[in-house]
Amino acid sequence: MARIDENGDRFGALIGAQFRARDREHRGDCPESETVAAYHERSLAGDERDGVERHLAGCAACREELAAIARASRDSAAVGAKPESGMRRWWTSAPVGFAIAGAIAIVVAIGLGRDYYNQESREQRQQLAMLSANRTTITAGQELHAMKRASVAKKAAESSNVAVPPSPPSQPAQASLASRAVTPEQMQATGAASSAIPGSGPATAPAIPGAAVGAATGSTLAQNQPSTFARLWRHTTVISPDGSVRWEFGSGGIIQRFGPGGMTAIRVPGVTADLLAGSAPSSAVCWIVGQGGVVLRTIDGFDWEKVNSPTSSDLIAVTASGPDAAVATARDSRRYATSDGGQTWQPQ
Amino acid sequence: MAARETSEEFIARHCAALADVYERGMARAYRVAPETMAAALYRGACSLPENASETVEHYLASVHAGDLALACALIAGDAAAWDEFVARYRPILYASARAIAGDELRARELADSLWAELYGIRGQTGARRPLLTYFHGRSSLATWLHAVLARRHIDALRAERRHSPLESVTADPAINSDPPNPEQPRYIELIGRALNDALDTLKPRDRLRLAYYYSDGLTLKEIGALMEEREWTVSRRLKRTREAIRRRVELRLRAAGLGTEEIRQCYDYAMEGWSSELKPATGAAAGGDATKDGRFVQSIRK
Repeated sequence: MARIDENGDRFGALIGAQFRARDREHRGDCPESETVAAYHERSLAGDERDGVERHLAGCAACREELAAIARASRDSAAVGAKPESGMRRWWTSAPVGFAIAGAIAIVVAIGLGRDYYNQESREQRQQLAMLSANRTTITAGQELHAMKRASVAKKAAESSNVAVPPSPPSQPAQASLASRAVTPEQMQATGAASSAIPGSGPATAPAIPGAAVGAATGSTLAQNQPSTFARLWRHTTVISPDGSVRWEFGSGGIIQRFGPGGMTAIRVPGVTADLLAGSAPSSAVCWIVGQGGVVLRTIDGFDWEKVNSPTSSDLIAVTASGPDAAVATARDSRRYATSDGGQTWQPQ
Repeated sequence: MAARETSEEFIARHCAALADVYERGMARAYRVAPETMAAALYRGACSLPENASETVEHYLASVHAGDLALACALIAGDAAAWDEFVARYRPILYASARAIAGDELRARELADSLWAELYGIRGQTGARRPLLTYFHGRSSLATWLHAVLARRHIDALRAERRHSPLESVTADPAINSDPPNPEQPRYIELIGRALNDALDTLKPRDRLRLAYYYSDGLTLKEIGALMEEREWTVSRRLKRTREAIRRRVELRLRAAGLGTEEIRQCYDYAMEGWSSELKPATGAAAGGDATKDGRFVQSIRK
């Protein structure tokens, strides 16, 4: 250590010697590699970060390891290390994909004519417009609603005296998940079963999100006895009476639509509440209600609007008979009806 | 995490956050079931230090969801996920190994040895135990791979050093030229204990900065890069910490009944008594710990 000779820092030399005497020889109590990695990324919470720094001060091996991670991060950044999630990767790769597709389209246009190119680019523009309009065509969906939803369902059942089927015994998760996949045949079948779903017939009791799913996916679920996890992660599904369209929704105000044209997902601007129940009188019209009295409506199957709410308490059920008429039920069992598309509500 | 919380209790408590992680990670795109993702997050939460109630929330909010979903798919042996992983991470892994190991041959060995373990080698029970099960999304997958490689490399280096013969340390004739003071051992012990206690009282970050500077011999710039501090901040804090330690040590020595002259002698004896420790810091001796032969410094400066 040249500094000792340069400034006669004997005390510093003693400190260094003391540190080396304290350094651990055995690595049994060293933090996990992931903890060191998280420390490097500055993502540890206060207590844990202090603990790691306490350890580092007494462990030359871990200090060396940290320095190596810093070097590796720096050097691998040059080869394009982007620690990103699949979501981000998808978003960021999309423009690149469009650019490549556009280039191919130009080449094709030269050979086959301008019309083809125009059609191609028009489709791309439409896709981009969809992205910018906060509606995305995505391949992966959301498995929303965990215990909170189950709890809401249970409470709703208790308050409305609607019996919730007892929890079936567990079975392997994959099997239960496979049972939740909805095939076109099942969709047709559940279209028939949609009379049990709020909105597809005169409801006599508040809809229970869990029960709605059970109805939506038909008897398959009950027969296959979903595991506890599967029940916890269940989302609410509403299917149009003709079975051609299905909406799935859950926490965070996200609604997915499955039907002609593929799957679309949308987050209604300004809505972050959990969505608890829905009702679809047709394949174009659907009403969804949720926490905090939120009421959403679509009259074309795609675009959703937030309409006036009759209450600030949670709405746990809705029965719609058309684009303008619906009856919503609050957690306290009060019912409200509208006949003007949600502009005004009357207690029932 | 609450002590001995079951996975179901964990899900009940953090259901909304778990759903959010699953959604953020686009886990369904990797054909990862919600239960699998929840189980991985539960394992991650179990690995957190105890008695830190807010840590689970912090973990779920900051978890690298996409990387964790990919890891879950890899653990399950999903072929498409492995294709993606190899395509994305192979160049990163080799670049990382080169940066850590220094030479190309060693880097290839280091990186190549990792693939099999990432996939998981079947043990006596026949079950695979992929290394990826130790990844819980607390850091990015890339940084975790860096950390795994770094640990392997450093452990191998330390093992090599343990097995290499030590050079014989010849006594410095200058040191033992004076007749020994009978108080010398006591003084050395006193100052050693005082210094040790003073270091213990420091905040972990201050102690780490000091270790980097006085033990590992890093420059202010290098320390600044590792600790995300400006050079002058490192310098200022080092000076402040050093003065605080010196004050504490001298107070402690005075409390033991030593005067100014005896304290000076303490320093002298300590320098002599610890000369074998001090020598490696100056690069005069070889062998022993990584920090003692300047190799750590070299590795930092690569």
